[in-house]
Amino acid sequence: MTSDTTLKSLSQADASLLAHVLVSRVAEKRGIRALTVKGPAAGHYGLRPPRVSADADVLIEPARFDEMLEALKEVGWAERHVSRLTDSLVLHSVTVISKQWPCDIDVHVMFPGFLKDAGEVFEELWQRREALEIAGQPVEITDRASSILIAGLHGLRSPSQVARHRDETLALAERIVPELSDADYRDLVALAAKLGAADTARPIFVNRNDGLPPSTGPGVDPALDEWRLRSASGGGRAGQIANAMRHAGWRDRLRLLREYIWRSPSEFALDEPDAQGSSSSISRARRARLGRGFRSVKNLIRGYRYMKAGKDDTALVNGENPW
Amino acid sequence: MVRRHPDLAEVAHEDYTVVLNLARLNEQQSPYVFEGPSFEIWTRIDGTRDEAQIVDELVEQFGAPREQIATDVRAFLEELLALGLVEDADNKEDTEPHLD
Repeated sequence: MTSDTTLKSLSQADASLLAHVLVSRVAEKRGIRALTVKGPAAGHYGLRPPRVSADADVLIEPARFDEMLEALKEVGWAERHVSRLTDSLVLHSVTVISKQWPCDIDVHVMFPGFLKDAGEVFEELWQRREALEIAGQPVEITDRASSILIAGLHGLRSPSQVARHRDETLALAERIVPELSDADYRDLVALAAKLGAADTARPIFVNRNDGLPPSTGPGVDPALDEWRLRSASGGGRAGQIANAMRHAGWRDRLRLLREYIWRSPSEFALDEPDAQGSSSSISRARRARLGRGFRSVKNLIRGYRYMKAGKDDTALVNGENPW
Repeated sequence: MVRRHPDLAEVAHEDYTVVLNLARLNEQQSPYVFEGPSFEIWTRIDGTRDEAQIVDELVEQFGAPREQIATDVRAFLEELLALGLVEDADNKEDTEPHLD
């Protein structure tokens, strides 16, 4: 009757729900503040259609992020090995996995698109938190306004990667934001400004934008420039590389470029686990990746154009031709 | 009288349930999936039935020999007690299983 001998395997849907509670409880036992973001929170507020989350996303108070990873390790969740390239590009979260669970936990130290100091952002989100019962236990989640911004930023960060990001972002811009009560709308605008998301989340305000601060021009905030480059280039790896190269010395630029174009088999396998097996399948995956790289040049040019112009990418939500 | 430990997370379905022991995460790092007989017993552990009542209900529902069902229920409850998934509602401090 133990978990090893039960006949039915643990489904991803059940595992994901329980993983949210697990993280919450591990954090609580250590006195670490943790907020469930996206997933059940977005579903709870009707910001996306109900669906199975493939993972659990949790935002940790930044000062205790490493301690939280250590605490999760004690209950069997270890950092997923990633390639050097991914490690150097993905700075906002760490994915932890357990052999016994069919889902991941994404542990966030910050949420991309909130451009204010990560600690200040967390404090504000924490002050506004609400409790949601998941699997019979209370879990701290972001409130509705925070969840709207998080859902918007998540979709806008990588609009071309996943079709549902586009659909969910459209729903925010076309229905959810316009239909807010005046008080809720004013609260949302104030929160966006307070967290440094008035520009990054601007596209979700495309159909209702009264009271939103004026758009910030290019070259004022490097983090905003990076956001514009990344989001307007479709949110793929190329945009991340382009941003990283803007800050890197020439040696690191060469390394980034080399690792993006052609990595060692072991490094490649870390990012493309499905391609493991015969040499032909690995070659196919490499060719596909190269093809994506070449195609992304066009997107990158668009990203640079938007960044230089200080333009927020509203093509996704207002139907304009992005080219 | 036995009852479920309050510090569990549970995702319940029509014919199976998944339970995570939050109080013992260091030792029990993955959830338990109860289906079939274990599910039938688990659903009846609600703090209102004692062991004999659970056995009675299962005998009536499944028509199996009472002795066999009683043995299975006893074994399962002892395992649940050992795992800390249920507790003796009459004597929480007692570590020995007293199931009725």
